[in-house]
Amino acid sequence: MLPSGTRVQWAGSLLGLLVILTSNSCSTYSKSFRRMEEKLAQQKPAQALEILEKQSHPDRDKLLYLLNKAMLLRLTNDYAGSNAEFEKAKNLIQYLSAASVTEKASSFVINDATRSYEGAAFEQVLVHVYEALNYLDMGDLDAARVEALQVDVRLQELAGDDPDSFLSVDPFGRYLTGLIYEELGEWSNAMIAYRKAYEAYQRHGEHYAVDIPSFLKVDLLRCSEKMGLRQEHERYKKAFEIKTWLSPSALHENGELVLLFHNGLAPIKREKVIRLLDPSSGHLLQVALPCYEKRPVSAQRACLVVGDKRFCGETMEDISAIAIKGLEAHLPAIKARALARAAWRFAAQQGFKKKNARKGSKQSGTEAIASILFNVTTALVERADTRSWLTLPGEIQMTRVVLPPGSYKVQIELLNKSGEVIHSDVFDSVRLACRKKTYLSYYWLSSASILGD
Amino acid sequence: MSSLKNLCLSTKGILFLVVLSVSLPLGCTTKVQRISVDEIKDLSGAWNDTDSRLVSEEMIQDMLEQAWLPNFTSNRSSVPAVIVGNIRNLSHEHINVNTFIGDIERAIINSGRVEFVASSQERGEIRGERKDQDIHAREDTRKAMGQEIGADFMLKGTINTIIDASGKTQVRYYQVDLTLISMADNRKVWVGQKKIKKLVKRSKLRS
Repeated sequence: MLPSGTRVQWAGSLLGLLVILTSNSCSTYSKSFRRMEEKLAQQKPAQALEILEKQSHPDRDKLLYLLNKAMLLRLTNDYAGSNAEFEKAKNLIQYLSAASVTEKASSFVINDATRSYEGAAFEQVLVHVYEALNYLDMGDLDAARVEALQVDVRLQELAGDDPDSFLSVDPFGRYLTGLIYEELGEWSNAMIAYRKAYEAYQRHGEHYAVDIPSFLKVDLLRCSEKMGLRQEHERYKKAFEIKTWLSPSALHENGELVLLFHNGLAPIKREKVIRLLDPSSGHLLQVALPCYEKRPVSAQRACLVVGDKRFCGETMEDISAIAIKGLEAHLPAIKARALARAAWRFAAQQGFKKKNARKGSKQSGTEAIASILFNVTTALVERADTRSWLTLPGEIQMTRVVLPPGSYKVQIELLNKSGEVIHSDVFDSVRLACRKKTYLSYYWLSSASILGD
Repeated sequence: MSSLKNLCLSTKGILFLVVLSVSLPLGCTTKVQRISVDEIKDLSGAWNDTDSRLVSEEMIQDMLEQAWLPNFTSNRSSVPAVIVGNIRNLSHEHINVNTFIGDIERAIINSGRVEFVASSQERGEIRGERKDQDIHAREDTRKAMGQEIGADFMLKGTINTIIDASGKTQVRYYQVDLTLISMADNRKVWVGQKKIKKLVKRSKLRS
């Protein structure tokens, strides 16, 4: 038997240890990102990368480290380095797709944030999308095609896991694969990809406001005509009410500039503490749940100005809406886990109280501390999992302009809600070649997107 | 006063929680073991060095046994010069085509039955060196321009895959197609094909 003083000391040490152990979770993942966001808003991605690399990253957050590093390397134009990190991320996602009994137990006892982060479905697809964009920026169309094939495999896996979920289809992922196949002259594959993108936009439209991009409509008309799919072509003509489009041969005589505008930042996950009714005990129990907070954006639209013509972009992927709706879809399962955790802790607390009540005596020093310790621990460890891929943009817009081959001076104009130009950037020499698409990615993050804690 | 053993369930729960929290960040040390380059080690099921080596050796052996080679040597009374052109990766994986091309080149050169000329990229570097020799090298050691051997045939190819997946199980089907094309008249003198099928079962559990 330990002397009572030693026991009190032991319990005190335990309390200290617990405070240390749980202190990381007190500061949510999203809060630790603030400094990096500030650097990104100052258009200093290299400094943001330095901050990321100096921070400590527990093993359970390794995927997020890799994804953020890959994105920051992309922002510094190190496309090969970025893809090396994306490849590591893909291998890790595959490894994490297997279940871990230890992590399942820890998430039941402590919280969901103790599990290894394996990425939301849309984030896993975007890994391939951004890796493909890196290859396109490097001019390696065949390597981008590899990613296009992997997007297909990944989406098939997601559809196998949850066929009814709108998250098992990805509109922009499919559309980008269509662009890649079409440039390679693989009309059949391009047609399938555009068709799947069309279906994906329709399915996503059932959950949030999204328009079918006019580019996709034209691509469907052109490809279905080229493939001789008469009935399907007529159906698209009727549905889209588009009368003219460039034929494949007209497209091949020209080059094409594809501007991808990555606007703002993906929404940030916050923690909200609510009380839920435990149906088994009838008690109201306190649980912490994640919720998304959308970030305001200063730029509403990006336009390309070539000569005296202005071509404005369309939203291709509303990442904010997909993230928010995706979390909503998973919330019942998250709530159920949180409630089960809270009920287990509540039962343990009640058992402790009853035991002391049966004794009919005052609590010993150790028991009192243990009781306090339990309550403190419960409050400290009940945290929501607020992890997400925070360097993703809030949305991806696209502009496509067909021009004769040559070198062009192009200007990118960012417009606010009222249509006023809030920022512009000039690219002096953008080269366009026959039958080729030239991709230009532009990122914009203003301080307006950085939210307080 | 109760002993530590008599502490209530909640304290045990906390202990469990602490043990769990402490054990989570524990990792394993890296172990390195040297293995033979010929040893077959399939880790992920993806295209690996063994596939690259076996496919190139088998296909080149097949290429050298076909009729185009004796036909050429009997007509010209010289061995043909071959160049490796573009081998496109149309698979689901980022296969390092350069190592595959390297394996093909090695298999062709080591056969001794055909001559092998440098690729366009390598030729550029060698021509640069010859130009440099013209200025800086001693006359008796200089190599003259215009003495290169023009290739008689170009070897081109593709690596394709079909992936069939269900849950944690995947069937990966690789098909490598190589074609030898006559530089003089675009005739395809040899077409080779090699198929590999792999069944990959991913673990449902991890640590």
